[in-house]
Amino acid sequence: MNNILKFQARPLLMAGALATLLSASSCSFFEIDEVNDPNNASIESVVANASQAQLNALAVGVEASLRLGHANNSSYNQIVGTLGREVVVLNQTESRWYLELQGRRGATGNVSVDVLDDAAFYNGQYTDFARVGRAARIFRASAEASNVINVEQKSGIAGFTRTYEALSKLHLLNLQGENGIRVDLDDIRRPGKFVTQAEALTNIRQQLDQADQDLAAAGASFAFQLSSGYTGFNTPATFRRFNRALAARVALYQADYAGALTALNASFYDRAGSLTLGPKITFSPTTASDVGNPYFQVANGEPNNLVAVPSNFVTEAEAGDLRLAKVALRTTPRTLGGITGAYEARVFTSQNASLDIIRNEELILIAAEARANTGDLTGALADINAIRTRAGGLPALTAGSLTGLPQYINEILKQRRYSLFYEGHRWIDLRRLNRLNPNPAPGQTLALTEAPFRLFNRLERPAAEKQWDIANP
Amino acid sequence: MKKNLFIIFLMVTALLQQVVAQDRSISGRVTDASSGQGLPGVTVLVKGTTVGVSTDTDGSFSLNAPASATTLTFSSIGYLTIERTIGNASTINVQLATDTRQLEEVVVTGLATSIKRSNLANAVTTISAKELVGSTRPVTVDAALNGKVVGANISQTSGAPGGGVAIQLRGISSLTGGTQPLYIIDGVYAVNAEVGNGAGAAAFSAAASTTAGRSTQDNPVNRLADLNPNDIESIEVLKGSSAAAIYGTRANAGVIIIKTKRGVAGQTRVSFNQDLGFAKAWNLLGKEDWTNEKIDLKYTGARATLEKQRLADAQASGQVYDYEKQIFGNTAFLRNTSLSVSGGSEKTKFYVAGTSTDEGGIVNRTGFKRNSVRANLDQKIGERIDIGITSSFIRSQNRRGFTGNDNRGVSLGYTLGYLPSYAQLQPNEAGIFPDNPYGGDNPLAIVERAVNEENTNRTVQAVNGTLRILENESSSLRLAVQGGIDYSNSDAILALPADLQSQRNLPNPGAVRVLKNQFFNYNLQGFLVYDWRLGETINLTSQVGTVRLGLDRNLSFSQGQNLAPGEPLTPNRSSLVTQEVELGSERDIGHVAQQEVNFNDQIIATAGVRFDKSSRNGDPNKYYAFPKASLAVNIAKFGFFDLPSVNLVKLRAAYGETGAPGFFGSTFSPLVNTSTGGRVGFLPSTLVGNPDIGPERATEFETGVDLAFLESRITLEATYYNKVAKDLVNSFVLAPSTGVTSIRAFPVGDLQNRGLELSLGITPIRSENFNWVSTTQYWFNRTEVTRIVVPAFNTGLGFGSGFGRNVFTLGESPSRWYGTPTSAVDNPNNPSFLTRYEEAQPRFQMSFLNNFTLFKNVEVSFLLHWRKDSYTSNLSRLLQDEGGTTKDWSQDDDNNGVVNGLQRQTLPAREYIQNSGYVRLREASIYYSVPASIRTAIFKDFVRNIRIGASGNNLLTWTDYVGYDPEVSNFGATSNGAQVDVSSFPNTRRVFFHLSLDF
Repeated sequence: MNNILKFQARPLLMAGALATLLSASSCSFFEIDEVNDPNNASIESVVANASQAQLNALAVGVEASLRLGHANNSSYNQIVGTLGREVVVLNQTESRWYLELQGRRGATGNVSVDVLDDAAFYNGQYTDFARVGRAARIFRASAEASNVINVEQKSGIAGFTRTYEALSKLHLLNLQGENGIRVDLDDIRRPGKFVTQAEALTNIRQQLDQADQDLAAAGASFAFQLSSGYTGFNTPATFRRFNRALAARVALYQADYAGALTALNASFYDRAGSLTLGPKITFSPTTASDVGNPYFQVANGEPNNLVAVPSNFVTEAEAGDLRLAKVALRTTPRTLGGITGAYEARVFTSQNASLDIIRNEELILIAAEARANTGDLTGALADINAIRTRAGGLPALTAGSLTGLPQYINEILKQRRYSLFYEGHRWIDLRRLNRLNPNPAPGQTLALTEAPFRLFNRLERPAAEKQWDIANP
Repeated sequence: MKKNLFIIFLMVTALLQQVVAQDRSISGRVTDASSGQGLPGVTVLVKGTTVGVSTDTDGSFSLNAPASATTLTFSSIGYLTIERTIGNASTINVQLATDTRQLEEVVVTGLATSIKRSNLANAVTTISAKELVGSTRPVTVDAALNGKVVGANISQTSGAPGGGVAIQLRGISSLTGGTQPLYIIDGVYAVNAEVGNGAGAAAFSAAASTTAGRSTQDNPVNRLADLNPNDIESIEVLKGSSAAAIYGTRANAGVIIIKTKRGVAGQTRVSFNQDLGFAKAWNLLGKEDWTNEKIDLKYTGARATLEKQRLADAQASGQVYDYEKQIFGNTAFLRNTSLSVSGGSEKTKFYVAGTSTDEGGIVNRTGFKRNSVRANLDQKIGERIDIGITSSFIRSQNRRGFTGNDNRGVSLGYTLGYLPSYAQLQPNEAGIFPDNPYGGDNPLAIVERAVNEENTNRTVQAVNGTLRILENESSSLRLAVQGGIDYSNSDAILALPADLQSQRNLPNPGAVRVLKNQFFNYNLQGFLVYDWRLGETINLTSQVGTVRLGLDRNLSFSQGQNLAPGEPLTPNRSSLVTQEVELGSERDIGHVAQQEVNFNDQIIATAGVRFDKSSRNGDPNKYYAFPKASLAVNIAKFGFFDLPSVNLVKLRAAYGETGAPGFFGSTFSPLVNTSTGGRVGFLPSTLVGNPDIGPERATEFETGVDLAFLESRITLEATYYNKVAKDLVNSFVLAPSTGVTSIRAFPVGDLQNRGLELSLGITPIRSENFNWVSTTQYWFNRTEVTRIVVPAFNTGLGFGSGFGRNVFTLGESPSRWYGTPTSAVDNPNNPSFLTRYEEAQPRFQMSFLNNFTLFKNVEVSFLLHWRKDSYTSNLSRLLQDEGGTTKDWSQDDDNNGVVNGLQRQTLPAREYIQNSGYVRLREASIYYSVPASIRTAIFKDFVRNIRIGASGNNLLTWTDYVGYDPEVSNFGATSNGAQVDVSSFPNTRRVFFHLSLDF
């Protein structure tokens, strides 16, 4: 008996020795330390008591986020450019660019596509622009809960972020058209329902107005820094002029022409000012975590993704229009899917070329349209002629050469086509003016519209949005 | 009567203990009943004692048996165990017959214990070395399992050298975490990550054009490729949760336990193996040449004129080429050399082996090389302590080229689709390649000049020790401890020189990426195992133990673009440098308790539980319990139908649970790095973490019957399982308007997998000069979503509804295909109104394995594998149709006036969701053992065995599939097993010649 007891004591001893050994070998054999993200900072780290450096970084994030929808494989200007027949993307490995997005299937394209895909690569920029709003909301919430900045500075951040949030929604609405968008997005788990296009525009306008109020109460300077793209617009007072410029664009989309003119007055609209004046997205391919301008292409190159331009852009231009420098005749045209791309887009001449968010040239055109629609045809003509002479090198029109509002609108539409080429406007202009058809105006046509080609007035609502609404009725 | 015998037995036993001293010597030889060759490593045991030896290389043994010994048992894995009465004999020679269903082999049921197959309550598939690589030489271990594991859906996802294999055991059990089985090599939790290096990233083929880093479209190799199949002794496949429950939270997708060879006591045995062979694409897509009429169908205007001129020029100079043949039509040379030395004494056993594998690829400048050394040592220290060391070092090299999806013109197959046969792409005298006017780059230049290479250094080390604390008549207690590491470090380089056509046109021409992928896995475990007896008929095994696992990962790269001219290709010589470092760390701790009760080998019951916690869960120190229970009833052993022809009638049932914690990072809501204007910034990720995430859990009930008749010449194993994966963790797709696409990990719902597995083994003929063993397996799995708490979401990795995608939605399988046309009227149940197509999982699979032995020295075997009606989204033909190069492009099958090549491009997803079922002669071989008379005449006794043979892999395939191979996948191993094919690397037919010598 005794003997056995002694024998059994050994295993216990052994087990004990083992346990001691194991627990001594590492900090603790039976404990797991919480693993924090070794690769990135966390959102939790800025939710409360964000430092000045963290707020600066969030501001950089908001500003940088606006390029996401351009620097992806369904770049905004290429998507809306394709839908508006400004450009044809002759991609050697992705035929959906020149087939599906132009409403057809097949090499000879003899079958029309009725509905665009709701989960294809070309829906990619939807999320990218939604991220702009998210970045803005996170920054605003972080700033509100931070102790290192004062009330004025917080108001400045509120105005900055609300402006970006409105910009985010405006891009989404441009893509979605009559599908409408969600505007109540504060709770990611409980987003609001979709609202109509008109309601969305109202919401965006209100948000811009609120941002304008915030900026008015923001003191002399921001608590964060902006890039060189905001030179001249980097204080609350000057940023407000940018905000008002956006408000003018939204008012135009709403056909609130008086409102557009009011907004323009508070913006940097200047009939005689630099046409390129305005905030920009900057690019720097050689800086870590930055990128190059995605719309730059090597002249006469054979890139996989060639952005070609339908010839009617050139043939329908007035002789000598300087803006034709935005395209160039290729030495070797590329033919894909039955489409020959004789011209290529050369709007952006280097990887470091910046991309305008909104600029004076557009403001002058908004002014022209708003004035024409409010009966100020003289003012409208002055704006039109500013563009014709300064941007196009074309002779000014005389008052007698345009008769009645429709001719003014046709002329403005034409000037917008050349002034804002490949900057994401044509399709939206045609749609809001109800002219998204093969012959939108005398002397202006849309290429690639005959059956089986098809014009789409919106992208499909993304599958994830549809599914969310089905699951959350 | 029985009772009397029992008393006599007891008395004899008592007597025996008094006369231990008087031993006597018995010797003999054990041979294979079919081949007559000596069998090494057979355990010869004096029945009722622990006295025993192993046979040596020759099959000979000699042992000192106690004078009282009456019977010897001879057992060896793969053979039927037999008993021989000793009587007065001092020499005993026996022949062992192969066992089709190995009832006596032991199967792991706990982390430190095993059980006889005949007592097992689960359907565990065991693959012996002979079954694995005895016929031919698949390049990797996982490829060698294909068609041999009932219940497994295995696909070779790439034909590139070094393979790439996806294994799904009993359907889909996870969408995010471990979708591939857990591999355990000699107790070490092995790294089997499939790590892409970025061949598909934006800077290279841009297959994943928005991904800067690593993508799912990199055509990666999985790290199991490092393991040398020749080193493997056996593989056990724990397919479902009921068998794998003891592995807890890493075992949701099943467990594959690999044991490598170990030494046996006796004469030192030296084996040399030489395999030489070749590989060729078994199927090329072919091409169609051009005419002016055809050019008019594809081109118009000036371009048509130009193309006609090009065609005329090519025809005039006779320069019309078959580019596919030029690139994919080469014959690759395969070589595999191995040398092993094994042997040892009763105290020390060793197995030392070195292997060198060099497999060329069918594309020039591709290939796979693997050199490995292994030393496995076993040492007994005194009576109580056993120590084993398993040590291996592997260096493997992969050169895979660029294939698969593409957005730049770099991928070979992709470019080929668009390349007319009259294109002039051959290099000039100076070696300069002309530009390709039909694609982004000249594929011949890509073959010669693009670099995609990976070198891996890896070591797998394990130490285990057993301390027998207590050993007596009725009980024994032992402590089993084990520790192991798996450390692998891969260096890779990807490069596209700046003067390639596809690079010259980029803003930053030339791209090179240097990568380092480092994995460190460790595991430590300690178990106390107590074997004890209640009365004479109840044997019990109790065990408790604990396990700690860790994984550290460092995946980093430095990439340079805008390269300076010439060599060397390094990011140092670039103006645009990007880099990425991705660190990961995981820790799991588990505690296990298990109790087995064996009533006279008639009723065997097991119950156990594992408690696991993991750093990947929201709460890293919360334990989750995974119970299991099983029951096996050996009806044949009850004695109420005592038919000698019935060897086994076993009913079995088992229940078990396994889990998978949220994956690494599932709790994180990152602010990713960005910059603008030279300032650094935070950008909220589109993903947010879930700090409350717990493990997903698979619960499985399996039941079955095992039968064996006529000395196990007929065996049948039938199993039904019902595996429900509960609280399946997946990303919770949110409304993307919010700027957040999903919550990284969320318990989204439940998924049910039900299936049937049948395995019939027959030995139709067993005679002196002809032996035929046949195994037929049949299995299928059906998957269905039984609960979903989030919006229906896309699973898998399709290319959009025009080509087919998969949806996780109630009542359907997440591997079913959906696609265009859309119709709200016809398809109201699909959120996007997509048409419902077929299931990616096969309707069933069947395999038919036959071995024939003729005249004891010729062995013939073949394995036929039938995968019935599986569906793949196949874009391969689309590329050719768009390019006008399809073999039947100009034909008009339906006589509607539109040629096939144009008509097919207008078709909805139906065209692309294709039946990838096949019947394949996966393995076939013939071996000849040189008879002893000839052998000794030439080599005297220096050589003990000479074997020559020839074998083949994928020799014949019957399929309607129109891509290179029905198994391939553009995305490697996908979570739901649904695969997409975009001009993947062609799969090959492999033929080998073998020579093996034993000294």
